[in-house]
Amino acid sequence: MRHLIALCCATLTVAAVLDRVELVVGRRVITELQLEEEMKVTSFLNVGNNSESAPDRRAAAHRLLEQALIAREMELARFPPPEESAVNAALGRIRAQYSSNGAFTTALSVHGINEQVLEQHIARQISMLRFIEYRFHPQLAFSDSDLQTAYREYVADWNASHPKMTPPSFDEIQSAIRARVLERRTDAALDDWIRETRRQVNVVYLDRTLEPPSTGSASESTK
Amino acid sequence: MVATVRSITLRSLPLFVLTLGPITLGIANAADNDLLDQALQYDGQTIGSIEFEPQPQPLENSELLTYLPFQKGSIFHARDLPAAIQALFSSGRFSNISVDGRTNNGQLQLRFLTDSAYFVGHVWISGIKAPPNAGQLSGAARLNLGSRYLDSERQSAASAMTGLLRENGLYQSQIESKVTYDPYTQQTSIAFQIEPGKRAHFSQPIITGDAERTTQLIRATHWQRLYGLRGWHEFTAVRLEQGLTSLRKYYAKRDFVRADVRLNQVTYSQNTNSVTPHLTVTPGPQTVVTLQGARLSRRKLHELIPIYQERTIDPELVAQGQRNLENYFQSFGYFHAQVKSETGTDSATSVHAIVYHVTRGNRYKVVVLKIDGNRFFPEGAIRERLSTVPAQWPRFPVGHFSDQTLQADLQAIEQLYMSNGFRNVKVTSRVLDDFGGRQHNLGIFFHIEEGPQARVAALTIRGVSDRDRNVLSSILSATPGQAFSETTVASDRDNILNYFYSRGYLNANFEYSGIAESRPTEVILTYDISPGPQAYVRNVLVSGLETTRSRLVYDRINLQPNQPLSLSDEIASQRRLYDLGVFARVNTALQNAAGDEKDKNVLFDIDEARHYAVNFGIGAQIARIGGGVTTLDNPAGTTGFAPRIALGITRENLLGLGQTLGLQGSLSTIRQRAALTYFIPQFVSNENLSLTTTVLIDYSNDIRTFSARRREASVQLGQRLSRAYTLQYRLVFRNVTESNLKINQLLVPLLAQPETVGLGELSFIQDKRDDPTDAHHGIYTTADLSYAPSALGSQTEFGRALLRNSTYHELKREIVLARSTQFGVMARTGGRPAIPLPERIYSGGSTSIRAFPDFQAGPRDLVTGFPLGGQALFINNTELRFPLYGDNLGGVLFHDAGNVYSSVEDMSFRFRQSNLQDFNYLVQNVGLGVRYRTPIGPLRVDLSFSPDAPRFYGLKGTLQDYLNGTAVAQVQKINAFQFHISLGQAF
Repeated sequence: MRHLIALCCATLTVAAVLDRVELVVGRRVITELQLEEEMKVTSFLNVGNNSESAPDRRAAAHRLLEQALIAREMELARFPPPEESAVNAALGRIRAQYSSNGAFTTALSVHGINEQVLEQHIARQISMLRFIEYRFHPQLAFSDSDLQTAYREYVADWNASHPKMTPPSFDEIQSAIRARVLERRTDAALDDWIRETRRQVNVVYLDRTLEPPSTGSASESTK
Repeated sequence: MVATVRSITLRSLPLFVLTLGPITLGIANAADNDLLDQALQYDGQTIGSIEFEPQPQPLENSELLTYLPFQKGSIFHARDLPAAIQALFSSGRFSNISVDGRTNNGQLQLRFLTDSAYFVGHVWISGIKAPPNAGQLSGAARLNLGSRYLDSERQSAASAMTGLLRENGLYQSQIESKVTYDPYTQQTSIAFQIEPGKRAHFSQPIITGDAERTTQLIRATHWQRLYGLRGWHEFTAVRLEQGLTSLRKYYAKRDFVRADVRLNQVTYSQNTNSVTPHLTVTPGPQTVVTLQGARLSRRKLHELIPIYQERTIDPELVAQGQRNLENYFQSFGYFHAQVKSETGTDSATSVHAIVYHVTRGNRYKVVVLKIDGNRFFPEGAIRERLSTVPAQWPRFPVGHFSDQTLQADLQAIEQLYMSNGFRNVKVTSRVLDDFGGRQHNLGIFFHIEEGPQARVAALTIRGVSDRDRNVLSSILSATPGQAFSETTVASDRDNILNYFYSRGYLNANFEYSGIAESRPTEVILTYDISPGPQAYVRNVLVSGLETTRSRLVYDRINLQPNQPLSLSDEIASQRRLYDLGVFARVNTALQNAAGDEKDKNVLFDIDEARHYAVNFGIGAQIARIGGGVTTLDNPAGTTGFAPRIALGITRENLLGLGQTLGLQGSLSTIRQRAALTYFIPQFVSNENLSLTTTVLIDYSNDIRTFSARRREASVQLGQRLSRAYTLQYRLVFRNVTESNLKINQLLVPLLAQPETVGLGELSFIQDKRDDPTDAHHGIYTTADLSYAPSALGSQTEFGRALLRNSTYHELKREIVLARSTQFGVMARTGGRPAIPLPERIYSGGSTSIRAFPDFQAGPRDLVTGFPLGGQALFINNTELRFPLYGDNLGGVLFHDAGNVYSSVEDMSFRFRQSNLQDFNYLVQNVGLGVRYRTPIGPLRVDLSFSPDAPRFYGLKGTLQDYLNGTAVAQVQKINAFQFHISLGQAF
């Protein structure tokens, strides 16, 4: 009997689902494998605990949806991919956070990913960040009063965390303040753009559990 | 509802499930294991097979395999799966895809499980009660043919249609929809059944903001029926909008220029089925615009001062009004007209006043317009682009000129040169006052410095095969040595892209670069073409047919499976279907246009036209068609009035074959006719052939000599050789009986017997006119040949030829010299001793020799004086056509010469009648006419004078008097003055 079972095992196994579509964004699909990989990479980068709870899945789906919208725009603009050196440099900075190469590899393995996957992820991120800068920064303008407002907010935060220390002057941290204002404005512009683009692009959730709780939008398959 | 991927997977599991590794029994639950981990377990295995389920798939398996980044025999990597799924999804054919795998004999069996996508096909909308009409509902639905179908869109469509129905007062409407899916074509057919319910009526609108005028405002909307005596009109979107427009006009009329009329909302009452519009009106202050120094009608003032169109007042609009007034007066010769504006408000009445002070100055006349410096273009080519015109009577008595036209003309000349490679052209103008020493005479001078013309030094075409390059080179304008301009490149771009689109390269792309290297006028041009992938026709799918036979449609579609997908063939097929005349709408699109698949289904979606059409017309003829009914006194006719009505009914698309059966009747005092026609367009599926069969009964006495009853049957085959050339082949059988004859009774047995005629006819038509209703240039030639042999049943054998040639020449802008020459001859070859009266050649009238009333030219009965027709014809018409006033009123000076002759041997160019029995001479007339352009052709009034109109013997008395011998002989004549009123040019 055992031999028979072993023989059967050697010749036939159950069909296992390997991948499936979870979400359709226009003409792009987001599959389960992509979702899981996104969660694993995020967990690795954030030194997380590999959680795959429903909120984590929804968050990953949301990130991938936004990335799909941006990728669509990048395709239309024929935006070039990043250079290998930039990707290597970013990878190097992540590697440097670990005591050794072995620790780095182990951490990857614990999170169920490998260096190639991480590299691809980093390349995508760099590409998207550059595109966001290219797409939105020229439109953003801010005045001196905006910088002053941001500086005052910074000072308030500083005083709360460093009650007995003098905050740096505006001139000393002007470039950092400028970068902070730029980042906020970019985020706001990006959010507006994503909101507008979502209205124009058909998004279908084949797995309804990935839908954001507030939208309740249509999630259906065709017959 | 659709099964999800999970349950599909579960359905396919075998009863006993074994797993590798630890030997356990049980059903593996996919949800328990991370899919990535699961997929990684198969990493490194050799792919033994790849299957797609269910079968059949929308695409062939062999084609599906080409989408995948791996194939049978290659090593499996889990991370290739998302790319594989994406690639399949990008084909556009699927709505859902999952992959499962199992190991079999150490190799991986991959299986792709798919759900097909569906696409929008025919949309049926029934139960419509216009407004809105079917087209509007269809537009609101936004279900685009060939696009991806989602059930949410059906719901959106129904909501949008409901919204549109409500906008038109159909608040009680219900819409039911049903979708039919065709899994083989992946097409859906969506039917919307509308139950419109009763349309709501307007009810008393609530108007706030102008309480004093509420009653007048309500009346001004015209939403009431008979001022409220018969309640309220039905509520429709058009009526609502018209009411709002009427309110705006109401205020504008009373000088409330800034009045704001706003519709806040409409509320519906279910109990009364009525709609109440809620309006807010803000009249604003009154604004009175006056002109000082000149007078203009209120209408013209409203046209020129933009505050009335914009419904607001600001300094820019006031200034624009000032400029418009200046241009207006300048265009009437007051070239130095100046207008100043002054605004103010009366504090007592709050009336805002705008006063335009016009100083017209002297009235000038543009006596000369000269152009110099032009070498490349002749002056005529430049002048026809100019709005500035020197004085020419009668249309521009002082010329046409203003600052605005001058600037526009400078730009027009510049544009002409730049589009022909003169990139550095400079055009200047000079206006000379008191030209020629005469006061108030203006000379306008345009000076052109052409500069060098940029030419194409070399042209390189990249990205195409040698064969394509050779073909393209023959159709391009920008060839070495030719002028270079952006216009030329744009034209080449269109030609190149059309070339590739017609060969299935739907995504062809064109870019160009032009470099001037050593010399700025020598441009090295490069065309970079990316044809992209070539698309092929997978299938042609036709939807929407109800009664039309599908064969009729497919025979006219010039697209075949596996052929390159030619967009031009697609459009030509659509045009061919429209040319059948039995479809209201023919929509064509590609199924899944956005998908990556190479082969596309081409869709033709058809709305059949209504099967029955009824036409009704009334009209009248005023000409010298009277007299001769009860007496013999007026053989040349007297002024008569013949009212006419016409009625017809047509059955289109008979038997679903695209053929038309029509019954047309007309009734007037001089002609009664009924004709049954059967028309087959695109006969034997040849778009250049048409077949017409006609049976008619006709009773006419438009030739005053006799009344004829005609029964006729004919078959005509029309063959279009090209756009300009047509042949017609006809067989005609008719029987004609005359009565009420007003000829020498001795001639009756010879000329007036009932006659049967069988004719074979051939007509050749060459039409190269720019506009058949009102030609400005071109040529029009016809040749009609007939023969009536006894073999076809003719009792008199004869042959007839009628030739006509007309040419049109535009001498100057809008001035046309038109001429036409006709020659006709007939001869008896056997049978009865004379050609019967109704078969002879008759002429004269508004479209031939205007010296005569209709059909009065030629030989006449020597006793009664009534026309007998002839056997030869010669006519020459010459017209000078010119504009009189504005764009629609034109004038004509004409000269006609010709006659109908007893025989070809009697033809003569003698222009004097030698005696009262001589009719074989060339009658001439001159005249003038007026033409008023209408959408269906020019309305024409011609007055003609003929110094040599024929005189002849006639009788005074009735036919009975003549038979009794008591009629009195008298000399009669064709009146030297004739008038003709008609539609369309004379030729």
